[in-house]
Amino acid sequence: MLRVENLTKTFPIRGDTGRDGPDVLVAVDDVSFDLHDGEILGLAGGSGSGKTTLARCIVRLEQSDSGRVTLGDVNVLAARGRERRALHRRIQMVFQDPYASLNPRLTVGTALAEVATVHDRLDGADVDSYVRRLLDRVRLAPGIADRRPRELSGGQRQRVAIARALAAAPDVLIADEAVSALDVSVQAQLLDLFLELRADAGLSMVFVGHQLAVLAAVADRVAVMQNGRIVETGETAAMFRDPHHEYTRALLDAHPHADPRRRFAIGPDTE
Amino acid sequence: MSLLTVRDLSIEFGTERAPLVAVHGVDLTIDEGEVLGLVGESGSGKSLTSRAIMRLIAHPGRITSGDIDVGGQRVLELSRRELREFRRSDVGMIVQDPSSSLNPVFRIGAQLSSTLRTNLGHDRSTARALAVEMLDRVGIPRPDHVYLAYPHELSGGMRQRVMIALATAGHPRLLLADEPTTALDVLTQKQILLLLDEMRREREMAMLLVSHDFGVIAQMCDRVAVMYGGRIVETGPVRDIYDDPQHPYTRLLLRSVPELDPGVRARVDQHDGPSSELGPLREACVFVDRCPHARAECASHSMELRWIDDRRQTACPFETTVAQ
Repeated sequence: MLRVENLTKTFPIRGDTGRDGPDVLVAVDDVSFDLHDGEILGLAGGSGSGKTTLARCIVRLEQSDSGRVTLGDVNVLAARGRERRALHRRIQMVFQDPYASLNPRLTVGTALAEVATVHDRLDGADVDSYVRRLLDRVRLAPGIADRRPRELSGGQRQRVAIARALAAAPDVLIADEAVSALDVSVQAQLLDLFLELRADAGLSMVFVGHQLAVLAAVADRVAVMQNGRIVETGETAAMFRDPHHEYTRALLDAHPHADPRRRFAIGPDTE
Repeated sequence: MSLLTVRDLSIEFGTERAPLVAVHGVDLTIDEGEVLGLVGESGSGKSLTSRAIMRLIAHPGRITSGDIDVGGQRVLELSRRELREFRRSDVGMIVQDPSSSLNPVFRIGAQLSSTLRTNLGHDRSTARALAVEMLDRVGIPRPDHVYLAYPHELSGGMRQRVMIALATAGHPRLLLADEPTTALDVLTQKQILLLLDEMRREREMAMLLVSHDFGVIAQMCDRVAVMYGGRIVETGPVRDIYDDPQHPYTRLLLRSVPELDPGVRARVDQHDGPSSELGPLREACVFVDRCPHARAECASHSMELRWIDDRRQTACPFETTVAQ
């Protein structure tokens, strides 16, 4: 579905870093991976590992230095004009903070209708029923269409952000820490929703997140990034059972288990 | 004898005629050197409860009832001057976003050493040396370099280390840590939690750890109080609560925690919308709208905590465990 080959992105470093070495930061360093049809690929790593930059390069929110991204047979990074607009529709992104991606003045219905119109997705259907269908797909009541983002809970807002991505009828969804800021009960609901969307619509997804425990619930495969490179890729269950790279092990070991018998801290008075 | 005792704490917003109850009838105790976790989702009142201990509830919020005692000082009755002294030497506080507590226009060192000068009365050069030593103690590499840095030049994890240095500078007996690792990635989170654990042992501090993540609480705490809708719904040793949660909300919370088991999906409730909206005080269980075991009696339930053994309390009067 989506193929990334040898993608590299550097940023110039401003000011005195107090460090020796070159004055560029290699955020994404020669990264390659495939996202299969209907697959959910987890992209894991700590802050600064380059996972978000990689995601942003794929949707061309950042311009990469070199490398190739292809969606089907379309060269994503070289596309222009009409072809580029089509790509905007086919690859959609969901961000951590829906506040930042939803226009506070627009009602949910207007925002969704706008996306559908821009990408010409209505196909003769009337706008209201298209919006209702979208809201239904993200399990929101039709009445939400008349509300504005600030009137919604964090979970509802993120569902709206997902509906907005779906309004374009994408082939690939890139979710960047899309559930990280939510309460765990809402987080679990949204992870369910992503799985449902994959099952219903065969959507392929790149799911970026620093918590392997979150990726465990949704990802078929996981790619672990460190310092801009993918250091390990594998089928989720196999990788978690038997991680090969020490960085993967470190990420797994840093998971705070809810079971107080499995502590990484010395902890208070553990018997 | 407890170091911290909170009795019947209530916090309201809104007007006096139409109050919005954010926290109601909360009781807490923390012994010397003990770590208590306060867990709950956004809007549960856990942060407000922690802020109330420092008397940091800003208008229009107000403490409408309660008594807070820290080491024999009745916090709600302190004069302004006593309060200042109390905040600087008796209690330290760490919040989720250190950039809100660090002044962006002053260098790290200036902020740290001025705290040391005012709080501990050190002279300039002693304060400077001590500040560098403290940065080193909280695991900051090249502390003399960071001493001259501005907050924005540091990563989130480093800023949080600076906050820990600042919060513990006055050698408080009680540390309030409000979502100290929520903005950090899991690796940095682990380091910061380990650092907090080390510091509190070394300094023999008691700690109130506020978090929405039961995993973080389980790593750090002896006891936990679970909050929902401004109330404590269950309290007891972390282990007992993990093994055998009594309140239906606690069970929901534990089921929702993401675990490292691929393909195992958390069982979720289908509740939609804000978990608990602020409103007037209701004579009903705060969890009734979401509870899978709700029954008629819940609408008039006072949520009084009852003891189920010598260390655990729950606000649910019903035997709901078996029905699960």
